[in-house]
Amino acid sequence: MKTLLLRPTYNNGKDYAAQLVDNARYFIRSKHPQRKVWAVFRHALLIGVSFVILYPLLFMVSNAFRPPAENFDPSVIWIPKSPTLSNFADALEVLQPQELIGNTLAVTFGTSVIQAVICLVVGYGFARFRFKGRGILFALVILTIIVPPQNLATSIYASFRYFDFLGILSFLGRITNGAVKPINLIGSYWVSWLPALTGAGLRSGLYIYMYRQYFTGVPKELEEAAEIDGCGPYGIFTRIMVPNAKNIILAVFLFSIVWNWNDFYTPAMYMQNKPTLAKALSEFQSNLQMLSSVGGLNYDPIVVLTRIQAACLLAILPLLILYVFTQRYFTESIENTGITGI
Amino acid sequence: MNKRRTKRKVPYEIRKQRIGYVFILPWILGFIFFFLNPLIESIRFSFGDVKASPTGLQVDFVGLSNYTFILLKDAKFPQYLWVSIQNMLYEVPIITLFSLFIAVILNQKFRGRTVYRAIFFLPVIMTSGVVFTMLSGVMGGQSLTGTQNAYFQTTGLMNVLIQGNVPIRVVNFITDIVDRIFSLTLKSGVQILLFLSGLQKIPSATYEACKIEGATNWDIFWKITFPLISPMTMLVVVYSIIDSFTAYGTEEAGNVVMAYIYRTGFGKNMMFGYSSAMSWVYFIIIMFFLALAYLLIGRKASKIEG
Repeated sequence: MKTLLLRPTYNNGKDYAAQLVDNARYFIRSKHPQRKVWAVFRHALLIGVSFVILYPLLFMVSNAFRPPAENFDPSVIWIPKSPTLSNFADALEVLQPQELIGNTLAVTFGTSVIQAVICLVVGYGFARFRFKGRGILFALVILTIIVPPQNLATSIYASFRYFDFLGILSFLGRITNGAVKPINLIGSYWVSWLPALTGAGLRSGLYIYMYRQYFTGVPKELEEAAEIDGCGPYGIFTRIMVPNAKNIILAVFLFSIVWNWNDFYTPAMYMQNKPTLAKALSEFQSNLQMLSSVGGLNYDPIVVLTRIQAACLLAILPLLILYVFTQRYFTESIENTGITGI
Repeated sequence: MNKRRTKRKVPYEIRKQRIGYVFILPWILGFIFFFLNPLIESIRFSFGDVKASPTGLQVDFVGLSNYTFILLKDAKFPQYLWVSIQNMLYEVPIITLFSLFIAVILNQKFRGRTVYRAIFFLPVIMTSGVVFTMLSGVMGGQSLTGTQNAYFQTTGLMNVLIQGNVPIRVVNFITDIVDRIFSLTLKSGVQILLFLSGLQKIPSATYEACKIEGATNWDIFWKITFPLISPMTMLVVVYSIIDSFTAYGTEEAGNVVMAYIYRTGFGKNMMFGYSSAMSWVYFIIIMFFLALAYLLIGRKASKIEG
């Protein structure tokens, strides 16, 4: 090892190019003082930025466990003098979690499973079949990513309120003299599940894109070998492609969990009567203030602060735990699916 | 005879490819029902006065009056729009440069890079929703730049810069970045990974060849890395623009336009028509900036990829 680190010297007889190559190798492998300085600087920088990122989390934890009064105490910087769980108790009282948990789980997990499966099928279709209009249709998938969902919210609201799939229900209604009416889906889980089932849910376009990128990279030979063995297009998909795509499926599922968990618009617009955690959190501050002023407590925003932190911590704790165990799938999915740009 | 043979041969290939339609069928249904139809509806709404009735929504056609009201009479919307545009113009270049910088560093081989990578992606998990707005409201408001919990004291930095005869505009710009370092860092999670994936696709032989030719790291970055990564730069810029324009917000903090559009449509007055018109104006603005980004970066990028 040590010989490698010595700067090579040659007589004139040696090849000049070889000398240059060896010089470059020497430079790369050596513990050059410049490189040492850079390594220290690099760690300092990364630790600094990591601190900025972790700061909100530390801030949240530190605040959530301190009694509200300690917010005024200049001697308390990070570690509360008398740690307390009262903030969590207060937060839970305002959030009313028994109602939220069911809604949040139904919306988050139900939708994520559906999205992971449906987008898989659609993404595979776009990646491995060369049907007519594929380019244009895929451009439309990209368009659905670009148009903000709120742009369409008004008319989607209307179509959920008077749900009438392709005019079938109103047609039946005309036949049966009004016995069948358009259904009101507002306030049911279907407002989240139905778009997911048809590849139009929250960020579905992005998942289709991710799957398509993945499947485009699978070698054609794999498919051809299966075809020779008598496997049809559906068999290839279910027996060869899907088992190989476990990681990307899991990644999409995890992304979908995170985004559905944090999503505020869908429940706020279409599920007013079934609040999820994200929606309850968005109303937390005003609810807390209302409750505390009724109870004759202090209306001061600083008093509210620690409870907000406790509520935020409660809301993202499940995601944080999930992330700790599955971090690899998140980061690798973006790095390895072959997303190469537009 | 010849004709028959080709006829028999073509259908198998075509039939096989047509199965693609079966796979994308769910998406086609969803696209028609949850995208195309609402899109057309929302254009119709934007030219009308929308009222709820027991059988459905009633649209009275009012021509361009929603749009003229937005542009000429509404006091809030243009102002909010301007805030959002300023925000975007400010955020996107900084986020792009910052995430490229971090990605280049993380692409080097050293101990602990996976840990850093995990930390840098954490904001995507933590802050993609309401929590971020609440935190930035709470932290940016009183406690962060306030008294006892002050995190970044920019006043000190400001004084130093002013004493050093730095123009006041530059000073404001720098201190503003430091003030917003939170939101900017926290918004760069996906972008860092995108750049990282782009960097990993540049073959290391390219770098070695340059080193042998005697290029410095500085040269290599600007002559090799930067041009080769430009397709990814395009993607990052597009992602950041959309992210900035469609972020969650309330009328006090975050994305004010989205909050205003939402409140107009779903607030007390339920002005669906006016809300739709506003979101269309907003959408056209977004598309304008995406097109601009494409003209500035995308053309070069597609040349390199092609």
